[in-house]
Amino acid sequence: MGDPMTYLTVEIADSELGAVVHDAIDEWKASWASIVTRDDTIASQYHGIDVEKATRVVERLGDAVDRALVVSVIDSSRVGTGRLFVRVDDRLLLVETVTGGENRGVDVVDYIRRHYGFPGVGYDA
Amino acid sequence: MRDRLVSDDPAERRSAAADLYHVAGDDPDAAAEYAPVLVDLTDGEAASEYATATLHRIVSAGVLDIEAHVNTLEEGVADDGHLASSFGSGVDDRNPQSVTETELRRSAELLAWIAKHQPTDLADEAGALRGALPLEPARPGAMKALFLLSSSPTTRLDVPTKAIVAYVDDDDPRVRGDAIGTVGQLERFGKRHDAVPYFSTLIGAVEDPDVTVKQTALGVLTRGAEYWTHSLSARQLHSAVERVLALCDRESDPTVRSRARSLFYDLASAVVNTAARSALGVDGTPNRAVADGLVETAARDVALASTVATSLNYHHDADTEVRRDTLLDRIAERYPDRFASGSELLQTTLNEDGKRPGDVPALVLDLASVLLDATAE
Repeated sequence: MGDPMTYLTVEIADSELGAVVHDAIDEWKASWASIVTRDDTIASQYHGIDVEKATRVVERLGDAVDRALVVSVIDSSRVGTGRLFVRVDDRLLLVETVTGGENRGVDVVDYIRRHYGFPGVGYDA
Repeated sequence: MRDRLVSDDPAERRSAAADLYHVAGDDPDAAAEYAPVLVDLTDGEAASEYATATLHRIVSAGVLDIEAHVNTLEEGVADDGHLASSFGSGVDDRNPQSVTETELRRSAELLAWIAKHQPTDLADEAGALRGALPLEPARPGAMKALFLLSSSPTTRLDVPTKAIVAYVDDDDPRVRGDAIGTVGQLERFGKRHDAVPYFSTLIGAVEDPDVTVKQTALGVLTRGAEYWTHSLSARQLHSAVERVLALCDRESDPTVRSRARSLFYDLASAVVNTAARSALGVDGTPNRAVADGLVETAARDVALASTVATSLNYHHDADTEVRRDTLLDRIAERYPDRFASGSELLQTTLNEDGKRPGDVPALVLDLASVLLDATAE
């Protein structure tokens, strides 16, 4: 199987909450490989964390997040699975689960942007 | 519930969708009858988040009737054929159409949802989805479903690429993007080293006015590009370099720009190799101008220069040496306070005593090392 690689993109509800999100993500410091911040979006990348674990990170971020995309890639097959969460009435709803082809989740990231307008970050950007 | 979901009051529709979201959590079967109405609430609506999350719950439970929605598409296609054949024939056919545009649209969208969660159950119905593409109301959902089936790791989509290519110019950017993604999967870009059919269609799409379509086209093209770019003709390479380079320079979207740069590296490598082969008389017309132009372009950007330099290293003819020196000089010119010339830059890489200039990117020194290997030949 190999270790999964997971990409997490979160849209911060309020720019002042950026530090809260950073702190929450910091808990996983041992495993994150890189982090990029674009305006109100934070993207990070994790080795050895699957989609379930990353989903728990998203749930813990709570009010700080408006939307979040988790894309997890199985190392051996390069198949990616994405989950999109959207905040409504103080809770995060899971609105989409999609599995892509053997291209490290690139088609999943593209699909989510085409159909939900959310520019998630994957392995190639 | 149905009356509330179709109420004229957006707040009422939203509240109904929220209630149904909870119902779907406990009893997805009970919520399933409202799935067609929910489809109408997913786009640009106050209720859209709840409606989408409710559909997600219903479809995850696998309780939708695939056959009924496939039948709706097939009836729509039959109606269309019937109308087309009676048009202008003088036959006054009063038979009403059996399905409405709304039903067609809803069924196609629900089949796209099913494609995500039960791809193996839907794979046999790809013919019905393909058949529905000419029907405008069904097209967005049908194309989305075809894309999802094409990219599912558990199914193989049995549809000719030609049938999909017809829609890469559709008015709806989501249809264009899904069509381009499907072409990439059907032609196995990234898995087959010679995947160049429909290349001109895909490279044309990197100039699409919609950023998500550009991103999708580049996502397809960057797969395995280090291999298949070498199967392109000189004309195809030339046209691709121009288009992709324009994106590297001007595109503001970070994902599109990053992918364009990645594709440019592979195209640059193929161009230089092709040009060098031509200059040596190995194949076809010499293309020295292309290689010279490329060196000038690469000199503006050290990351690109590295790719070009690696390719130059495979060839040891006189022209290549001139290009290599030109490249070094141009890069040295970017650091006038550090290097008087390209040869001085080369000398810097010889220092192993820790005196490397701290304010010069490591990439420049790595690049000079690559070029130094060639000089040592």
